[in-house]
Amino acid sequence: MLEVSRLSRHYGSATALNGLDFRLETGRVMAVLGPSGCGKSTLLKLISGLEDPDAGEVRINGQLITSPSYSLPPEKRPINMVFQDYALWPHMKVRKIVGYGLANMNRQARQCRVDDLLALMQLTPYADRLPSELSGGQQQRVAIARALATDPEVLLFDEPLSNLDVQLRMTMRFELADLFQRLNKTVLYVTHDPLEACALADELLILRNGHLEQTGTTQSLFANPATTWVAGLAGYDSQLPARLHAPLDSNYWQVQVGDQRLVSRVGNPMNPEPGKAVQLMLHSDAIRLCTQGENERTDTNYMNGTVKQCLFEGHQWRLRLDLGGAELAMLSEQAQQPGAKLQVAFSHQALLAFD
Amino acid sequence: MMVRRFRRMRALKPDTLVGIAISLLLLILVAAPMGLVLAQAFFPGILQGDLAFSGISQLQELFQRRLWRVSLMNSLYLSSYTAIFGTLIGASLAIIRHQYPIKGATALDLCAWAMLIMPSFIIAQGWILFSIRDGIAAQWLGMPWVYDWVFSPQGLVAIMSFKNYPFAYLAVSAAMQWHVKEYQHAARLCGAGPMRTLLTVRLPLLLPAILSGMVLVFIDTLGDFGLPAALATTYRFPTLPYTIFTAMNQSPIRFDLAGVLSVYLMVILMAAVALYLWLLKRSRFDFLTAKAEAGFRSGRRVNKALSFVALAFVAIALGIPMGTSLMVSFIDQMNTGFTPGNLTLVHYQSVLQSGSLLREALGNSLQIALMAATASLLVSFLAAYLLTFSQFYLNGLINVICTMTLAVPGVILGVGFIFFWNHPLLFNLGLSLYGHPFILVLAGMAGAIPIAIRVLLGAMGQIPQSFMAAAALQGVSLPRRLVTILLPLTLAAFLSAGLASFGSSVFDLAVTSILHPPGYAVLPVVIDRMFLQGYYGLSTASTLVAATVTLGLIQATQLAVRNLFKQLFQVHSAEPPVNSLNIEVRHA
Repeated sequence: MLEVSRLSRHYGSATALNGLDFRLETGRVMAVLGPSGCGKSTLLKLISGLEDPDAGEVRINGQLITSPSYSLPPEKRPINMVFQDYALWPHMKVRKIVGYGLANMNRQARQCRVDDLLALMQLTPYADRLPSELSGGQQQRVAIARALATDPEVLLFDEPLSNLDVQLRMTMRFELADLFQRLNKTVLYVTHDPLEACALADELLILRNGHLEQTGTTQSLFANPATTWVAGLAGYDSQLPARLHAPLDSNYWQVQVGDQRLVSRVGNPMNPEPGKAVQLMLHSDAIRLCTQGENERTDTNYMNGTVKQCLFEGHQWRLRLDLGGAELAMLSEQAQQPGAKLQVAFSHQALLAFD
Repeated sequence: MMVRRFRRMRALKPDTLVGIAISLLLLILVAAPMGLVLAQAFFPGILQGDLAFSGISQLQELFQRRLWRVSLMNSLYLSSYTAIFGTLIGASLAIIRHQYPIKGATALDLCAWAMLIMPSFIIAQGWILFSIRDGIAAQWLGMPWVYDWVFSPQGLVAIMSFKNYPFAYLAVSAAMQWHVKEYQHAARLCGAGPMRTLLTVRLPLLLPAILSGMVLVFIDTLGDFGLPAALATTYRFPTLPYTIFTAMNQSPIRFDLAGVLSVYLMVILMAAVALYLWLLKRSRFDFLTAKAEAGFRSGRRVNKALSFVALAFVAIALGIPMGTSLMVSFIDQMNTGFTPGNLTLVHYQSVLQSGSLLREALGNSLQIALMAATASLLVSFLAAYLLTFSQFYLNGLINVICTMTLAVPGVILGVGFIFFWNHPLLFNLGLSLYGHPFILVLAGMAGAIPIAIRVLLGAMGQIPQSFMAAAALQGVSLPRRLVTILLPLTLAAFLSAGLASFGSSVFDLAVTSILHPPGYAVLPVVIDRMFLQGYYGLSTASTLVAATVTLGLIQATQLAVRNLFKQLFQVHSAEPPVNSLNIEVRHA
């Protein structure tokens, strides 16, 4: 189990990480999500021992590994890491790279372990190649094999897919998900891609400016973002200014958007009261075009708008609708002419109100 | 309490242990001797253990002693004008070399490196033999006016400009290696001609490199000991380094006066280094983009006029001093001319015969240089590792010591070593090394470490932090990480740093002149003495023999290492790994 308590790191007057707390049970995969500069990589450096914290501590299975007054050297920690740039030593062949951390084993055992790892990562044919003779995906597999070789308690991944092209990234996403399931290791996976985080992790930890913004299981966090910022990160890409009108029950309120009245779920935590200004957040996937003569449902919001822009995205069109003072982004199966009048619908549950 | 202390001890990282050892070593080798030189000016009794403060009375003596004032003014004159003219020459040649297609481009590069590596006393000796009244210019070429031209302040500025222009040449060449031609295209499309484009676009972008080169020329000239040492019997032009040397070498020996003059020299040099660092920091133009190209030149036809300029320059700057030395080493009588009857090998026979002074001196100097280069390489490698890859809390101190002492001339280093290693405190501890050959090894180390660190920092700065971090996370100890990851990846720089330390140590006239024990022959001193006593044939033959042996050893080592680690050198020249462009290179 990995426990991080009140962990802080400052660089001069800049705060990279401020009082971070979380706990990751053995065998679970946690994705650390956030934009560049939010403290993701700093967190990995502090856990791995490449830097020391200014405050707080990190424990693995109850054993203290770092605090401001004590720091176990990286080479003594039960941790290994897959680096963003893979950090494959260019002068060594794959076999040597993978077996580098196994110096304490005898030659036969080491060779056996390296062969197993090469087979596991489908690298056997490339064992005698240099890193420069491998593709990006193969390089990444070598980096993972090396990290697994020392059988660490905790595996750290620092945006390992960010250097790959889109197609390879999708393939590797499946491979990594499969690997995590088979290995049953405690994994801390840093990424700035929410979809990658969802695909690979059991839990999410969202960082912003060095602070913990939200943590929870992937599904709960995507369904119930705590702030407009987390909602934005989770793909809620339309933001509508509104006012609370009247409560329907403890979770749902009527809201006023321009001259239209809608029903919205109330985000958490919030202190709702009639007339209060709020921001409504909506995921573009949750919006659909209404068909002619469609019967209106009681659990659905309906809005009218004018097409402002229509962009082709390969297999569908992304529309920007003008709602008269606000804008809405949505996906459509058909192209729409700018200026066309449309009616769109989305469920009450899809609309989220925030302070 | 005990438990907490034990935990702290356990927490002491290998980096910290190495860092403490390196810091202590640098303090002893570099900072303490330099500190004593400074302190001695204000606490004249410090060498005897007396800490009475004397104020600035000692420093004020500069204004009362004519020789000191003249030395200071001569030093400032020589270094300032050399900085201007050396930079003009270096920058112009670099622009010619990289902007236009010329013949002799490789010769220009080789000339720059040769002048940089060669000790100034050897260059100066060549110029003196060429210019003296019975020298080659007057006797063989019928140009007696060369004497008056060379042996004047302006002539010395010219010699030093020819010697030190490579600092500017190499700085500007490095800045011109990559080129964004869109900047020039934009200027041309705005109506600017080639000359206006050069003056208003290219040169301003090169200004930081030009200014850096200028400061380096100034620093090297100000601290130069070789030129005044070679001139000693021919033309009186006292400079600060030479006056410091004479204060310690003439009876009565005045260490205190040498210390005061060293302070002046050190203050000017430190100011120049501070200016250099400030220029590097403040005047940096980040003008390179992804569109930068290597080796852009305007036009395709060889420019004959500029080719002639380049080759003529090489013939004068390198050809005259080295050609003169070569000829003089093969002739019997200087005033008889370069005729078949006057050719002889007697000088070479003399210096190479069994039991000769040169053989003894060469053997001693090579041993000292080998020990100094090996030790300084080890220390520099560890210090550069700390500065690049660790967060050791004294990294700032290591960096300051190594940067500020980069410009300390051998004369000051020698004075500092006498003050430190002759101090009663060390004497009482039985550690007084003054008068022992080992002090030359330590001085060689102190002189080589700052330069070797810079060379290694450049190479280590190109290695991603993640390479060493990944090795640490494999559970591998620091020594093994250094040997298996860092050393192979920086082997070329490691080799260069070691060989440069070795080469410069063999020919270091200033340090060896001040510190060599009586009766202990060392190469630069032996050659300089032969020259000053008028044995020109012997001194030039000795120079060429010693240079050939040293260069031969350097070349043999280089070939051996490159052959032994062929694979590593091939890896370096191979294509970078896929995606390596995305690697974030961070510098400590």
